[in-house]
Amino acid sequence: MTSESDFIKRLLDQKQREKAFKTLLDLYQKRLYWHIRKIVITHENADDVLQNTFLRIYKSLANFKQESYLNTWMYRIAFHESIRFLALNKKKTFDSLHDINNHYLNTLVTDPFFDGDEIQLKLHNILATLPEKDRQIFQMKYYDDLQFNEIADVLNINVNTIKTSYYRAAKIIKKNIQEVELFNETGV
Amino acid sequence: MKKIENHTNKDEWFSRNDSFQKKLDKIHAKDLGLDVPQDYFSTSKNDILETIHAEKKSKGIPKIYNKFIWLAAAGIALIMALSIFKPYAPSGSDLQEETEIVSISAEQLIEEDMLIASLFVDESQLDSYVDQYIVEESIIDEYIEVYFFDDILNDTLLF
Repeated sequence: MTSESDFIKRLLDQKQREKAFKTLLDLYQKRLYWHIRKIVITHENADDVLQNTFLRIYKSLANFKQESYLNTWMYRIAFHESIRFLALNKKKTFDSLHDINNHYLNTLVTDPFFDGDEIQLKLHNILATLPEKDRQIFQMKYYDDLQFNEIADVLNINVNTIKTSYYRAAKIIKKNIQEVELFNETGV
Repeated sequence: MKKIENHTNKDEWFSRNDSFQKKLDKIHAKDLGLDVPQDYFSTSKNDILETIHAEKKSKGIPKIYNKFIWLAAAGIALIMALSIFKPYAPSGSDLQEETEIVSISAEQLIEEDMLIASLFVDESQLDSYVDQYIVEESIIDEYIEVYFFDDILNDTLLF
């Protein structure tokens, strides 16, 4: 079994980098794709951002000094690339900042690779109502399986703030889901 | 919705990463209704590797840029040396113009391709570099302020 530290050594070694990078893609491609997808929403956008992310990772490997974990370092790059994409997209598409959240569901339902039913759409609805920061933190913890300290490292935010945001978001989601379930059971 | 287990050791995380990856498609499809095209990840992997291969082919560019930057720096040093010793005593305006030309060309070489410049950025400075790059494309300042950092000071600690 290869440890992360051994793997990083291979990545930093010019002679082994090519092969190690293919392994890196196998290990992280899906994780980073889904992380990006939840930020930029559509598959087409996520595909673009994923390409840019791995290109930047490859170019920056020589400068990776292991001061942070490999996974959080890559998530940070993926997060920055996603935000950069949103910022550029917003510049082209939106007039006001609040349009981004309003745009969330519209963008989602126009994505040919969204195949959600009524319940899933309601979950998205709930997620869309969350403050952007809370939503990102909830998704990184719940769906991307990152620990609080890893999320803090990726977002460069205090870990207690991360916990606060996560539990606040989880509480809202739980409450709203219960209301949806109650509505489905009783029709009121 | 799934139950997520915690992990504490980064090597342990590394070894279990693969099994977690296999669950990702199912989790996102089941909870969020998000799908990907068939065979997307294998196609995307090839695309990424091809893009990187193409970048590597043109990797001569940064070296050339690097050489130009060194030449420009050497030029500036030479001009400064000449300005001190003044063997040919050029007029002040000529010298200023020459210095500006050399300086501008060095800056332009760096700014022309931010991605190439990123090769020279140290990991510890990557964040600030990326941030700076984003800021240059505007909007992001406002985005981060409003969505990510505005209420940090107001947040109360749960634990």
